[in-house]
Amino acid sequence: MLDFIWSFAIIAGTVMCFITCGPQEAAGAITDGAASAVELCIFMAGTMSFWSGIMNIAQESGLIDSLSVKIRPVMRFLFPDVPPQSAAFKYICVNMAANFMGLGWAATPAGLLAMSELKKIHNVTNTASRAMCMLIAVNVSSVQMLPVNMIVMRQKYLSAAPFDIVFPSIIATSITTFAAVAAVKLCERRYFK
Amino acid sequence: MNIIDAVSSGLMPFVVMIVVIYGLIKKVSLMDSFTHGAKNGLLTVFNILPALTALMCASSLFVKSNLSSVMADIISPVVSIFGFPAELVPLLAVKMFSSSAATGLASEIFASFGPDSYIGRTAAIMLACTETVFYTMSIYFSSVNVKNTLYTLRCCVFSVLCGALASAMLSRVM
Repeated sequence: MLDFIWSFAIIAGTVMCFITCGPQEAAGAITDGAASAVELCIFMAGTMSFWSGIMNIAQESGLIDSLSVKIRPVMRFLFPDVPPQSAAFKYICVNMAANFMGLGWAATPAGLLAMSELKKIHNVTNTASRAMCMLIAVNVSSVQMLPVNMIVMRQKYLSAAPFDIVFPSIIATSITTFAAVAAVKLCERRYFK
Repeated sequence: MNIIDAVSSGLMPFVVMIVVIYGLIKKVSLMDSFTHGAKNGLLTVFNILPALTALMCASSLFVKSNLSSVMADIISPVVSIFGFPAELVPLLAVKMFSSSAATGLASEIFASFGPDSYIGRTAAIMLACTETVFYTMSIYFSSVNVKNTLYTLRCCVFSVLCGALASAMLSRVM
């Protein structure tokens, strides 16, 4: 399915670019995209390695353990097949806590490390495990307390009340998360018996 | 007003400090522990570079070609049945690929419709409650070499659509 969307974006995008802006623009868009992937990767390498390092300290000192106790009931509902003592469990806790507080820079490293730990404990080869699907759904629909970016942008465009969107945003983000979790739970029943 | 901006950026060094102080108290060998973790992080990033390249090329073509506005013309009659403003369809489509492109598009929307208009408010709520589906999915799955993603895409797109409809409704009533 991802293959289909990717090839659609490539083929239809190229054709459209040719028609509307000419072949040079199409070539430019492709090389720009590739260059920005490498740029992003180098930028991410800095934050990722730093946060993975800090997280390792937090893990070895037991800080994550004390944090993860608090969200254990939620974890047990969302990820019933991830043992509470595993490293995967702890990274998922960090990922969810960081998402909740809107700390994207800490959420992604924790999420990616959780994926590699899940791969180990569930012997994943080619097909996603149940916990992986849930982890991604939770991340895509991330519950966020304060939409800082949007508030700042609204200020920039001289909104009379930039904070007006905070409450509706919290409701909307709860709806997306609820929809994602419910959809995944329903699909789980069909795929994992 | 800029207090929240300051707090949200001040939080990061604060978290770092807490972690290091806690590690000192618990007598963790800090440098060893940090470098071990950092190495893992670096390896993960370079594992996802190929997927990132594939995705960024596609999203750059998608944005540059204005494909999103063509798609918007086609599906806007459908979405308006659900009460979703047609002006925001391109934004929703772009947001699934790239967060920075969506932010750029949002500033155009704020500039032309105004941040306090119905369209402007809906755009802000919508961007606040959704994530970049294709981006997140491809980096997470490619980092562990998973090819068969089962039902993940379906569920994620469903949740984003729910969020978009909810945003349109909420900004009307609140």
